[in-house]
Amino acid sequence: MRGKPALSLSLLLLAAATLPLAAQESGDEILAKVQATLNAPRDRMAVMSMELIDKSGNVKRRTVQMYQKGDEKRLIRFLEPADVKDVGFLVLSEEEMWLYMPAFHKIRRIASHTKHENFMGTDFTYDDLAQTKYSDHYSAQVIRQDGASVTLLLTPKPQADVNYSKLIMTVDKSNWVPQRVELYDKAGTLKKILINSKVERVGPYWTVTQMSMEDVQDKHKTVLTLREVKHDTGLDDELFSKRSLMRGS
Amino acid sequence: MRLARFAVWLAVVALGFQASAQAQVELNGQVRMDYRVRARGDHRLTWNENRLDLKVSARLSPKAAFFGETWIRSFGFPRAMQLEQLQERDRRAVQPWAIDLREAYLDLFGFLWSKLDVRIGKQRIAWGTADKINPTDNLNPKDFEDPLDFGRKLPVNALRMFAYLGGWTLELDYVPTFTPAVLPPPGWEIGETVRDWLPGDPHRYKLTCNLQLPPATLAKSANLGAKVSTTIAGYDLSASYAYVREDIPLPTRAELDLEGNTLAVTAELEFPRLHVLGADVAGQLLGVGLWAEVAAFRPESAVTLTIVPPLPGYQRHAVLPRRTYTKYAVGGDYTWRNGIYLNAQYVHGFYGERGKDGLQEYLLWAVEKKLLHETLKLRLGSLVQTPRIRDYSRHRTWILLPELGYYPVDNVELVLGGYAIGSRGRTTLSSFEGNDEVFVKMQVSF
Repeated sequence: MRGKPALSLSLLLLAAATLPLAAQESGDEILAKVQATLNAPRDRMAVMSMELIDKSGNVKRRTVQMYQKGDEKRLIRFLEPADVKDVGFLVLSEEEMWLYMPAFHKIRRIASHTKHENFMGTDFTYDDLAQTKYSDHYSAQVIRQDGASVTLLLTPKPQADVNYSKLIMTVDKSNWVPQRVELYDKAGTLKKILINSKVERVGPYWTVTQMSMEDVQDKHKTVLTLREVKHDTGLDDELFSKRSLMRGS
Repeated sequence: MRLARFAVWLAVVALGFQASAQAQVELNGQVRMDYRVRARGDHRLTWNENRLDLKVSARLSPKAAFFGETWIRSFGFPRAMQLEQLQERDRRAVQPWAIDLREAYLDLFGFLWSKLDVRIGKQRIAWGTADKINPTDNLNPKDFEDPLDFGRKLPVNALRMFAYLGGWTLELDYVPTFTPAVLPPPGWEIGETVRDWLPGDPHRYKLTCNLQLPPATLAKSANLGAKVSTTIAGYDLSASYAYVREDIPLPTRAELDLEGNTLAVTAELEFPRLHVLGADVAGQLLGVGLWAEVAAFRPESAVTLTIVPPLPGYQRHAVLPRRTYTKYAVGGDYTWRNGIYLNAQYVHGFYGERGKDGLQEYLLWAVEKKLLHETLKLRLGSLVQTPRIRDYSRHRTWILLPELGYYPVDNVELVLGGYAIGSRGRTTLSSFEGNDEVFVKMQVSF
């Protein structure tokens, strides 16, 4: 019993010491922390399952094997459904993307205009999935803060080629992972809501292992789940090459 | 021949199951249905295809994999002419069917050297960055079975080697056996036919065409290819060379003879050698996808048609002079924020066209829009063709291809579409006029 007041006092002192510091942090600094958390692993591999749920409750499923190195290099290979099985997608940068289509026996260069398209019929655009460096395209300012979370308003930088007029991002201050992101269309109307519903420590890194993206205008939702997540396995640069894309490793 | 193919297919499947002791064999494929009917006249049925497309693949080890694909299909219409044919055990005259081994190859990764990959077996060697119509893509023979399936080719037995040297890839291809093209069905002729080279009214001849296939020797029959590719300043670049045979034969000799009141013509056709120097590029500018592809063709020797009339004397025509001619394709694509996708391409020189004076001009474009999270896809494609831009008002062919795709559940695709074809004057595709069709296609993947 005696210990409790002392502990509470310590917590209060700690809170008093940290809250002003957090309050001093700018939105861009907090956004930098978010990015540092999301991009902390040197590399990552996982199986990503997606459930597409329409307004009648009908469900379609997609599964991909994903490899990522740094915050840009990415190789995605489709596992299901069967009609896209073995299709591969290689991203080296926003300007360097290739698609391997086994049916055509070809690697095809993909221009960056595809980033506005929905990824395999999900509610995520290619850009949404690639978005780990928000600060490249958005400026952030703090609009709300409490002990557990901070809410940022992200507005596009001049000339930024993005799909949204603004994002409202609520960040969990205990791990600097976004809990919820509201995405507003060019007309300023709420378009989609991203909820990171499951955040786990996988090795030393906070990792979003389940998230949902709901298109509130289309009343369509995608639930994305990561499994078999592995970090820092030393993925070779060779994996992120057209040779690897074609041979299906 | 069909039995031999079936045996090969069985061997591939057997190899697959044997290999499953060490590796997981995957069996995938599609069930397809394609049904077409003429939109005009008596609404004749023109296409009746049911196909089981079986694909077997396995990773035997980190350094080896194999792949095989076989089409088992019921294709065409009953062709029984005699009562006895209805009693045949294989029922081919009642329900035509066929087995076609499309591909069967072995991949060896890091073969002898970590930077070397090898692919051996029957395969498709798809070159070029342009969309479907690729001037540099000449190592597989053309397959015009479905004339509007542009770019369809026949897989061939080949040895391919890829050496990866830093940012460069060197590819060497060796195709030991010559395979001629599959020509379009009657009513869909593309470009010049033998009749076009003969004097007078070509439709009054009784024509017999004899093919002179090259001898099955390594020197006479083989095709060779080499390609080097890299990425510079965000653009994919490649340069290639191919030593091939023209896979659509050219007439070299025509003997005319009178049979009663009919003029009978016996023609000999050959497959001349070509050198093909190619280059292509793909990249983007301001977010727009761009590509260009060019190939310069040089016949190894001139092809001359000798016409031997029934009376003394003969005529000679230069069918393919020993002069370089160049085909190219330039195009781009873009997706707007509202999801509308546009793909447009300009082509000089179509498959089957040859010789500097034989190349015609093509503009192809397609607009696509996916709806309801890819449950529906609307597509409108078009092709406009003219021998020369200045001749457009007098000679042109156009094709309009609307399509509606419906994807009710995963792995199921239903397509309703058609093509409307118009033509004026004489062009490579003018024989297509009047072939307007409506089609229904279904595909289930597994």
